[in-house]
Order: sequence, then C-alpha cells, then structure tokens
Amino acid sequence: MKIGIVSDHAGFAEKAKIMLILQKLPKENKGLGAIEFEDYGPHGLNPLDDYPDFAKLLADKILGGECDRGIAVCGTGIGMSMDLNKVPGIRAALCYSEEAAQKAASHNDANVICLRGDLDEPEVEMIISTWLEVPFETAGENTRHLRRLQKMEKVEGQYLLRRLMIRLRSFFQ
Amino acid sequence: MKIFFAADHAGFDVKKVLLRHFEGQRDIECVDLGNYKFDDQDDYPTFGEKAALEVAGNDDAVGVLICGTGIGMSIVANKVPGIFAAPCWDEKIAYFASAHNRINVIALPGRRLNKKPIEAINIVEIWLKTKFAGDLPKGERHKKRIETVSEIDKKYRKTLP
Repeated sequence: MKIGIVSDHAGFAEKAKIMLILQKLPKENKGLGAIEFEDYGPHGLNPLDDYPDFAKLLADKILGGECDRGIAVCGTGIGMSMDLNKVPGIRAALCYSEEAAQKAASHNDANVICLRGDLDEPEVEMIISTWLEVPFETAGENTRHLRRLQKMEKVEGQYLLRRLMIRLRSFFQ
Repeated sequence: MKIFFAADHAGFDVKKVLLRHFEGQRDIECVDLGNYKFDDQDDYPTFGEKAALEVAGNDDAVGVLICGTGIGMSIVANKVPGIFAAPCWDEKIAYFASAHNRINVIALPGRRLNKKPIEAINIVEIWLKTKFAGDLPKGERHKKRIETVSEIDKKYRKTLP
C-alpha cells in the first residue's frame, strides 16, 4: 500500500516528522502489505503557499491510482479536510485524537487523514498507526457502517449526476 | 440568523443541550432537523444532508451537526455544494475554523462532548462570534484560499438552484 503525503507551510515541519514515523513503521502491516510512502510536496518551505493546491494534488494522485491513501497536514487540518472532501471518492477525516483515528478507520473508512501542524510526535505516531491498523468494520451488526457509507455516496453521487445532466443538456442544445 | 441543528444517536443529547441554550436568543432562530427521538440505529448522512441542503446558498444560515466524532458529519456535509464543514473539538479550533476557514457548518464530536456539554456551547458560541479574517485588512490570503476551495467545489458539482 502506498501513502501520499502533502502539507502547506503550516504543516511543513510536521510533514517531515510524519515521514520519519512512516519510515519506522513495520514494513509489513496486517492485511495492507508493504507500506510505501511518497512526499508530494511542498519540497521547500514557502510561507505563501496555499493548502488547496496541495489538497488537489493529493486527491489527483489517489484518484489516478498513484497512491492508495493520503495524509494531509495544514495549520489546523480544517482547510485540507474541507478541500479534500469536495473531491468525489475522497473521505478525508480530520483526526484530532487516537479515538478519532480509530473511528475514522472503523466507521468512516477514511482514505485520507488530515492532521494539524502542532501535534507532538507520540500523538501523531499513535494516530497514524491506529488509522493504518484498524480495519473498516462491515461484518455482523457492523453492516450499519457500510449502510451509512452508501448513504453518503448517494449524497455525493446525486450532485455529480445533476452536473452530468446539465452538461449533456447544454451539449445537445 | 438561522441555525439548523441535526444529529444522529451519538449526538442526540448534545443537540438537546445546544437547542435549549440557543433557543430564544436574540437574532437567532433555531431549527431542529432531527433526529427527533433517540434511535440507536439511525444514520448520520440522513440528518447531515438535510441540514446541509438548508444551509447551502443561504448566507444567513449556518448548521450545527453532531455525530460520534464529528468526522462522518463533516465528510457528508462537505459533499453538498456550497457547504464548508469541519469537525471542531475545542474552542481554539472553533476560533480558527471561523477566522481562517469561514466554515458554515460545524461538526461536533458528540461522544466526547457528552461528558461536558458546556464545552459544546462554548465551541459553538466562539465559532459564531469570530469574524472571518479574510474580510479584515491583511487577511487576503485566507480569502484566496477559500475561493480556491469553492472552485474545486464548482468543478465537481453544479451549485444548487
């Protein structure tokens, strides 16, 4: 499994920490295979850069199949999470605690986690390893999580469909 | 201003506390969009979408959504065109959510705030009270970033009529 990592200037230092943590992770993870990661930028600190540019970059990489999951860091994690969730197919969870990371994985099947730039190292490590290790629960009475996800996808899909219809209509006019 | 409240079972109690606090306040009209009774099998997208649709395109309305962690609600609300939503778990984050990101829907972690409902009130108060820095001098960069998020929103979805 490959993880893509992005940040803006406010998450730049945290991104470096995260890559060190990912390097330390056991190479073989339960059910996920070998874990690889790639830094999609920024590759230098630019105090004037904007989170939407890197959010878009990460979303494109995931949807294009270049990586499977993503980690995005900005000052509070809010900007990244709003922006990534606008992209169909992305479920970005702003993980503010280990418990949030656990639920993001088991209940929301988040394919991206967003982190704030001022988390300390043990917290980040806990959040990332929890998110990677906890599986999405769908068996038995946990089918409710799948049902909720499907409802969410319906919300997502209905606007895409509407957009497609409007496009088609203008094409035939 | 209109505030639309919605919660699943995990946010049921916090929603009640917030409604009791904000109802009857000056210049605030509270609308409860459910769930109206406790049902531990209900699903957050049902209520999240309802509130998001009310807030989208209405500059004088905001939404307060509550689920277990705030994550599910924030994801589903952001899928609706015109909605900017984020989970806010403490007062500091609520401040930045307003000042830097101008979110119009706040998602609260019900399981966490159940134990201290006063904090839920404080979080929402600070979020409502804080002004967007993008409208102040030297805040241009925040405005530019929010506009880029809107562009991404429009790219994938036609805004609601």
